[in-house]
Amino acid sequence: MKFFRITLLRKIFFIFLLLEGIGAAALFFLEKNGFSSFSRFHVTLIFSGTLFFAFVLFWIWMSHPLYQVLCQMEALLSGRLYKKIYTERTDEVGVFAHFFNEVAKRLSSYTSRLQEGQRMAGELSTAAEIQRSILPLTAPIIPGLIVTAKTRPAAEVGGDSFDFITVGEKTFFYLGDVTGHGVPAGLIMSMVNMLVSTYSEVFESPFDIVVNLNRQLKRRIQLARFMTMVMMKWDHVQRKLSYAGAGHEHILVFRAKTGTVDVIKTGGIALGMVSDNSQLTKEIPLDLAENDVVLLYSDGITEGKNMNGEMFGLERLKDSLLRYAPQYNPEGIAQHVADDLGHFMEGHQPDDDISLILVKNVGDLTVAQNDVAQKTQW
Amino acid sequence: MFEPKISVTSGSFDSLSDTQVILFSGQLDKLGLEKIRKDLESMLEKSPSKNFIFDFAELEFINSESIGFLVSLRTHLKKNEKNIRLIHLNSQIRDVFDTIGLLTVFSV
Repeated sequence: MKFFRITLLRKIFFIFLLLEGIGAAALFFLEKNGFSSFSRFHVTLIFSGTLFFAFVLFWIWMSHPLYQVLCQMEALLSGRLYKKIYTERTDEVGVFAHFFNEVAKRLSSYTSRLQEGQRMAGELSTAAEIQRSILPLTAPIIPGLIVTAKTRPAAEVGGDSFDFITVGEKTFFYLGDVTGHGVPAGLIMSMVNMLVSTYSEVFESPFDIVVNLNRQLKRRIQLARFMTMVMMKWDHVQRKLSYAGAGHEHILVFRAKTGTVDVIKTGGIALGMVSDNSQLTKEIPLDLAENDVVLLYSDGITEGKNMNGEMFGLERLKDSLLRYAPQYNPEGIAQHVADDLGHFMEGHQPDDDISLILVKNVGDLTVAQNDVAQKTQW
Repeated sequence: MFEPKISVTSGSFDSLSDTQVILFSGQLDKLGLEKIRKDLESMLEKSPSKNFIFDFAELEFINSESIGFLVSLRTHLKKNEKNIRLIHLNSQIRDVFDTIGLLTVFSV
């Protein structure tokens, strides 16, 4: 019987054989006993009985099972509740049934994944909004300086942060970069942003801010996370700049007088590494003559890769600053650096957040900045 | 999307000083870290040595996230009285460690 169970065709063949068998047996019987031994009634009975039997087999084997599968398919297609089909058949109907089950299972799995994805996207977008409301939307106007700050997170929520806080006659500003990106990094950077805001009102020196930040962070963040940062202070009256470093990327300074770019090591140690960093960092003055430009960046820029896996690097960034600083104000420099980076990366998506702060000393000039120039979202 | 070019293999073992060398090769960027993270952790877990040397001779590049990972590894091993030393850092990698301030933290 196994032979006949394998395909529908074979089952039909079986029915055919059965009919033939019965027909042959009847003929044989008739031949033996003579045609007259059968009345019309008997013939009709045998004939219809056999056909009926064939139909029953047909119904049991083919029509009914197919109908069951079709029922569930219809339910699926019209959005009604459908059920898994249980069968051990290995013929065409069995294939239909298993196919249906498989499709239904995958559909259900994709749907739940899609819903999960949508829910997460909703959450991330909320987190990103919260973060956007923490970072300054526009660069500030600081007496004696033109400032541009730009940032673009790699994921919805980024690990780069910056802020400008003016207290009396001094302005603190910083650029920070938490390891990684995404929600965990975003949480740390929000925390730091808050702390810096508070400390700026309490401390005079960027050194104190960096030391206290480190103490707070070390207690609260995981082992693998740390934050690099450079904290700067601009004294409005003395027109002097100073900074305290926490393991951040170098500071680039374009010197207008000589047309060269200085690369200055930030120094210090990243926040969150050691419990006390006071011996490892200090406040360092930074000469900023008129028309000099300071550039702070996060490593997302220098580590930006092109299709060959080559990195943009510090040298290219230095070259860009050298080229654009003589001609453009900070906003223009930022745009052109972004263009250079974009061209270099050839459309390859950045892995890390990218941030840039440009500060130009304009002496006594009070330059009005336009709205577009001040937007910080790249 | 490129395949991350990174590999971590067991190097020589010195029974006298109970030191196991681990060789790093390629680029330890975001994808690279994802690829080797578990392998490295299990390598360290399984090894009975007390001292490990991470040989970076063939390592071209390391990003800040991977450095964070190394720091956490170091702290974790320290708890079990094991230690890590990093050797053969190329100039780019040494710079990154220096900038972040880690040359004072890690024995290099």
